[in-house]
Amino acid sequence: MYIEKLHIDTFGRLADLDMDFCDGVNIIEGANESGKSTVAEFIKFVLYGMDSKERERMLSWRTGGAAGSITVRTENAYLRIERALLGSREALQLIDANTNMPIRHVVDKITPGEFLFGLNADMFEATAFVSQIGGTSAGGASVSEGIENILFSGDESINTKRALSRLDSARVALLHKNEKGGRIFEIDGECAALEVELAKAEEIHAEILEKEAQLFDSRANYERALGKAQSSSAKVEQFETRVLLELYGRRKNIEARIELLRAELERSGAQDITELRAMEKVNSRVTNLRHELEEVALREVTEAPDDEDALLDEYIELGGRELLEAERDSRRARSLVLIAFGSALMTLALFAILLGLMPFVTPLGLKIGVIMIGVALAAFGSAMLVLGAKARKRAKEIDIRYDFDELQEAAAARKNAKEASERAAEATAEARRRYDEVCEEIRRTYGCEEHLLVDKINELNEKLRGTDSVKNEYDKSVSVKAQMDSQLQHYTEAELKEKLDMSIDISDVDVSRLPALRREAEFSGKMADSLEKHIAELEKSLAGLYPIARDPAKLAEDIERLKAERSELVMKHRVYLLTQEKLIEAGDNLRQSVSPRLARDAAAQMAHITDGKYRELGVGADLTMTALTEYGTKSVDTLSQGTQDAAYLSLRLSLINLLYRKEQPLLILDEAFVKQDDTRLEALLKLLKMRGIQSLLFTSNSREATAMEAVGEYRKIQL
Amino acid sequence: MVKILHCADLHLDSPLTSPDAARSEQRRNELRAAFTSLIMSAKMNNVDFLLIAGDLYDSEYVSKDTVALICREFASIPECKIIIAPGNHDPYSQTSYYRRAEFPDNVYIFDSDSVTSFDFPESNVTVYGYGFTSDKMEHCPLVGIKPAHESRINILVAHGELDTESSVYCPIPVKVLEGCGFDYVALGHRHSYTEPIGIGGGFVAYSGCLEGRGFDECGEKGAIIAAADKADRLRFAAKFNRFSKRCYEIEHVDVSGSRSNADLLDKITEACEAKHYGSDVSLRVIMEGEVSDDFVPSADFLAGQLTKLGYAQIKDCTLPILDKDKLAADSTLRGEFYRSLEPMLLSDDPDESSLASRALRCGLAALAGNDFCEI
Repeated sequence: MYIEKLHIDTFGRLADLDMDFCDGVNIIEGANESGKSTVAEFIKFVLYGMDSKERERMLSWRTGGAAGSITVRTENAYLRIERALLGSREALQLIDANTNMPIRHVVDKITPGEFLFGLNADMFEATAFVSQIGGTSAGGASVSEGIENILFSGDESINTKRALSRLDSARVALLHKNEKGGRIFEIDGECAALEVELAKAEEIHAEILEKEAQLFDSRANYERALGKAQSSSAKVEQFETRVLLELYGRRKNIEARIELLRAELERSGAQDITELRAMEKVNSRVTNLRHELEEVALREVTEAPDDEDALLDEYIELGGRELLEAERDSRRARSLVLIAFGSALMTLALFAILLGLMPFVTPLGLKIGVIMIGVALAAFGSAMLVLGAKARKRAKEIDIRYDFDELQEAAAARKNAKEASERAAEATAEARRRYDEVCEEIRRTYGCEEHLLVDKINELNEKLRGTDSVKNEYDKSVSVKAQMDSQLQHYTEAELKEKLDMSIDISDVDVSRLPALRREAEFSGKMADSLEKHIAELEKSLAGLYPIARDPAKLAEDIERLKAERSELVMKHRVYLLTQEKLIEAGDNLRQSVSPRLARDAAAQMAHITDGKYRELGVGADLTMTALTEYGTKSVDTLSQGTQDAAYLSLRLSLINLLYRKEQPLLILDEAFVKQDDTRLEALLKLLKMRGIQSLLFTSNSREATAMEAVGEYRKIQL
Repeated sequence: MVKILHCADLHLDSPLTSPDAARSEQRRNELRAAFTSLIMSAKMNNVDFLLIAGDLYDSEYVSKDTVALICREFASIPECKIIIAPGNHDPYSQTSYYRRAEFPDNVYIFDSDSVTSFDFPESNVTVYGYGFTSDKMEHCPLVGIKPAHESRINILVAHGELDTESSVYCPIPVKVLEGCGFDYVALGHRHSYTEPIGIGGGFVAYSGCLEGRGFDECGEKGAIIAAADKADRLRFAAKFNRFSKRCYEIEHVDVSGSRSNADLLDKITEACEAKHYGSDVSLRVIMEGEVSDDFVPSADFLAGQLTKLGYAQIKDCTLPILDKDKLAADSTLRGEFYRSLEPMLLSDDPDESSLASRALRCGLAALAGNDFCEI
């Protein structure tokens, strides 16, 4: 891009100023405070606007505003950029200089500088704007980062680090580095939980199927068992009814036969046969009672206690083992005490007597007194020893006389015999009472004593002799009927008559199988009962399972869905990782290639400026520079100011080559060469001329113009 | 002449993988509807024998309602003999519904893993078969089996793997089948229809599944309707009849040169119209080719625009290298990034190139400050 014209309406100290520039080197000469830097600031103002800090310094001192235009020529366009600022209002227009028609919308969102160069104000200033105040260094972290962004993405507003950071955040959202967080981790957790639920659901489902199958089988088995039990029971019942009815019929027959026999017996004079049977019965009873009475009487006698043992009587009289042992123990204790005291008294007595006999005991009265006391003590002691010996003797006597174990056993036996004897006496009384009752009954009924009843029975038997066979048959029939009555006792006559009316077919009943049928009916009945309980248990169990059963198909689908989501997220995670890896790799590659490129380019220009003295430069990541000197590699900042300026100008020219992709900018040099000697100045101007870059060289002296005379064409503008 | 309807692998109530639960439920209902259509067809065509060669339902998942539906439907065609040979998914086990459901009298189920038969002399037909009794069956029960009456139309209904010597799903070697001499072998287990082929003097066919359940079961699905007669010699004719409510299809669409989602949509729509895909089709579109890196293909947007289809799923396998020369020449990080991915992008391994393709889109979007989460 080339600036053809410049018009300042009002800006700083300048007003109504027009300038025309050539495409090459333009030297703007002016005394100090003539407004050289203001012109340079004006160009930046038109291209990029003005921030609040600059306003104070650059707004017109007279009008308080800023306005003007520059006319630029690019490869494809010829434009006039007009910018005006008054108070808070700012106007910017991009005008086609050929047609004088405004070009709309182009600079709505971006500044003309950004539109033309693709760089923001900072980047423009850091590269193409070499002011007298800002020094010569192109470095600084923010500028270096911006330069990196431009190199990396072609747009300094895009931050590569931010892109990597966003990718990292997205990756972390999917899966943390330690694989303990992120959506994939969460899905794994959800999947694991669902798989547990699925396993449980399948288990319950399988249990339900199992129990339903069991229920199905149990119901079928129950029906079968019940049917079999009913059928067997029915057959058994039919058979039993039939047997019962036969019995009933036979009993009817035998009753009739008994009546006939009775009548026959009565006709044959054996009308007393019933009485005979009763008499025989009573006789039998009385005989039994007599025997019983004799037996218990005998027992009463045999079980009477033996009262002949005098020692046992004495033992019992003295209170038995307990009291005797207490007495013995008491006497032993007493004898010990008495003998002990007696012995002690005797010792004292002996001592007193001996004391009394001693010659040193005087007077005589005292001597006699002591001896008397000794005698009295001896008398007491003797009495106590005698009493103690008596007590010991009695204790010993108790031990010798009474064999406690034997006597205790004998006392218990006597007590038991006494009780048995009392019971036998009671039994005898009872037997006698009953015997007397029967005897009284015999006397009352048959008018004779009991021992005469046998004679009466014999008399009747004699009378009935001759009808033996009839009587025997009668007796037998009565016995058979009694048995039948016993078998039929659970049925009333009415029930039996009702059963007679039933049609019972037992043709298919094999009598030999009747016990098996009974067992089968019983077994099947029990099995049906058991199955019924089992069915109830199964139904209860299923009723508990149905509400908690979850659909395994739906859970399986949920798991599959999560797995599908996981698979996609894992792919995405791989994509993020690969993107990060490749971006870092590409960044490293680019970074490694940029510094050498910059250093090579800058070194070539530096060699030109210094006439080959400095041929090797180094450029750091923060755009600091080193130079190879005769003393080795040194930081450029340690060299002379002029050499520093030359080095950083070389770097700026290299950066312009590298960064400006749309339009090459003009180079604004505000008193940038004041530290250069004439030789270097000429070399620098030659370099600018050779690069073909439009340069606006602001200076307060004529050195540059003089030097430029030797270099070639240029335009000089006097301010 | 007897009419036979041969189907298999209905897999009623099996789990279905869909993006959402509602759609899975819908597909399950469609599976049931296909079964109902089958029964309706048997009724309308006065089919004499409905042969179900296994996997009527999935034992692990089948509901009582579905079993009730099966019983009801079977009862609605009392004149038709329904012969079921349980498969590995619906084995005749202790807990099987085959043992305890109240199937109508016209249903005949093979309850043993040995070959048994049901004889229908009034139709001159004997149906042989066996059933899985667990989820695996490693032996072939057909060895040494011969039909008892050669004059009958002898049919075998079986679930297994034809032409295999070893399988846990009942291997059925062809040579074994050749020695049997069945007139028609109605097979189940493989989910794709196979034309009846002649083996041992008879015909052997897989009906395939009745309804596809995913993109691994593409194409029309249904049953075989056949007619057989054996007055003097066997006369047999069969054709495939579609019963599936929905078809799964996969379409590879070359979208090369596209510079926007609109371009992609045009190309996909064109491909769908050329194949006349309609609302009965669940389509997976696999986009392939070189497209611009200036845009991100939106699968959701594209799927949402294909409203004529029953269901659309878009899979992006494009490479964003339409402007690869420009990218390759780019001296900025964009170019360097492309160059670092280029070997993977141009790899013959589709997985690697797909991964690199997504990474390229993702990286370019991240550098431009755009959203890359949908990539």
